[in-house]
Amino acid sequence: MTTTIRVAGLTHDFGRTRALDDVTFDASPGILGLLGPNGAGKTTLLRILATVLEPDVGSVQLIGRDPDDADERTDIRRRLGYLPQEPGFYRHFRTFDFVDYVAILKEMTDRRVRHDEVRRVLAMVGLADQSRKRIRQLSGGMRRRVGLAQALLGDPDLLILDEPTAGLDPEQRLRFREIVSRVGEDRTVVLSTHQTEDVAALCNRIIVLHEGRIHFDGTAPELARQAQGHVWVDDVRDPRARLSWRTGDGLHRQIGDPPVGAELVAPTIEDAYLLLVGEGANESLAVTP
Amino acid sequence: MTWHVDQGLLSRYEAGTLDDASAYSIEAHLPACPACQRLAALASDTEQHEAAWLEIIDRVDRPRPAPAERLLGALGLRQDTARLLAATPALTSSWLLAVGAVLGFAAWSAQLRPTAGLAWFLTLAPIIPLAGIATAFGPGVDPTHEIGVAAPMHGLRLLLLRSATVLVSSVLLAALAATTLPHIEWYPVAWILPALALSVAALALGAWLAPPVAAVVVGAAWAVGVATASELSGSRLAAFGTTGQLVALVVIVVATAIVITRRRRLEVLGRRPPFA
Repeated sequence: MTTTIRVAGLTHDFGRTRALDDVTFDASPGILGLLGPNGAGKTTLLRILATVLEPDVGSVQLIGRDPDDADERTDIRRRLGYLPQEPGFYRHFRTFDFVDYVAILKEMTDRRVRHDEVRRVLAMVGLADQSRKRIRQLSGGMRRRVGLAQALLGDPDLLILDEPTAGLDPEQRLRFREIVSRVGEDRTVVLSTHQTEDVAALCNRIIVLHEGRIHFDGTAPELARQAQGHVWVDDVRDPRARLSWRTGDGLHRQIGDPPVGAELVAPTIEDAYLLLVGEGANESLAVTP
Repeated sequence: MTWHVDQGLLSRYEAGTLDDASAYSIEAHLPACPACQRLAALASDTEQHEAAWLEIIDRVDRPRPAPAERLLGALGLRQDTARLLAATPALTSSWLLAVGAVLGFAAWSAQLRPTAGLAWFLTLAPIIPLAGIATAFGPGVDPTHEIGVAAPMHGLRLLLLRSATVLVSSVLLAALAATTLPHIEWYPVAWILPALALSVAALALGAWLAPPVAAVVVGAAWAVGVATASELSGSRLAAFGTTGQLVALVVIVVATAIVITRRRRLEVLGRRPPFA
């Protein structure tokens, strides 16, 4: 299987803030989920993968090419689809015209071919009947779908999606997962999210990023296993627990170092994620990536 | 007659990939067989019909372009170029109206007080394209900037296309207003080179500063320069004389060189702090 992404020793600072710290990983076709809290460095990493940001230190190879070289970078961009965290739109543009505009930026010069492609991606995201509406008339969820549509233009080999499900309701999120899982079958998709359900449902590989460093790199079951033996339930809140909350059935679910005789439960991805990045995460219980 | 032409043969005949013998058979058969004539007529038209039909569908199905786009198309620009330019904020009707108002006012004031009014017009006219260029490109004013950076089209191309459009539209408007200016020597056209110089200078400075900031800096430098020249020589039109034109020319050359050598910086995002 071809390695689509090869990243080694990525470090990037913004002033005195270290956004990425020695990030190294490879990726092949499939869906890679980047999980991490705000400020973890997800957007910085995705921007580097989308070739819009040049890292201070480290090497990047995308689709076998080096984005540092101007010609190779243009080559990568021809096979790349990118949905930024805050995609901007020309709000007075009609949906069709806006996606067409991005298609022009992607150098689709033949008008008929380009328009067919615009119609194709709009149909893929279920916006075929909204193509005449102005973007300012669309709901937030629909605008997200327009953002996804423009990223799908040209059938890219590499799809970078920054928080694509932010602000979507469960039905919209489900629809989004359908589209992405179809696309991710033979392409490389890297998406970032806070939502553990998204990665659980979609991603065959997960990277947990926190304070610029990779705290986990593996599959979803492996991630859940990281919290094995660290999750228990009780009638009352245990003050020694790292994190604790009351679940719907009246019990308290707690994460941390369980006391002797505690009622352990099977850990979920969310438990493991909270263990890795929650309060006090950098103290004990450092889990192996 | 038992042998008739079939669709497969006809398609190859139309495409020109049929062997001579079979082609001759078809040509000999057709004049005598009305049924096959009808088939042949259908086959040859289908492809052209399909192409025409798809074209009609495309024209009907896509939304009607905005007036600005249609105008640009009428001027002979390709549809994709027109669309790129139509996305330039500085080409909206409100901007053009504002520009027209400013220039009209300046030209009108020149009627009342020729020298002073002319000096005002000459000072203002070059600043107009500056304001347009500041709003034509870049993260601060173009909401789709980040998506555009990740696209293969070179940033320089987009920047130059839009800047040129802004410049052309500003120059046309200014030229229109300038026809009403008092004919004091050749001064009514003395704003053209400075307009070019300020625009290119702003583009060049855009390699280091955000475009709106670059535009403000250049505009301020111009205003100061005009005022200084006026003070030093005692004439309001001092900055627009031969020396001033030569300075403008030099600025154009230097700034163009900077824009071209610095074009790589247009290909990536500048250094920005991360989102909270």
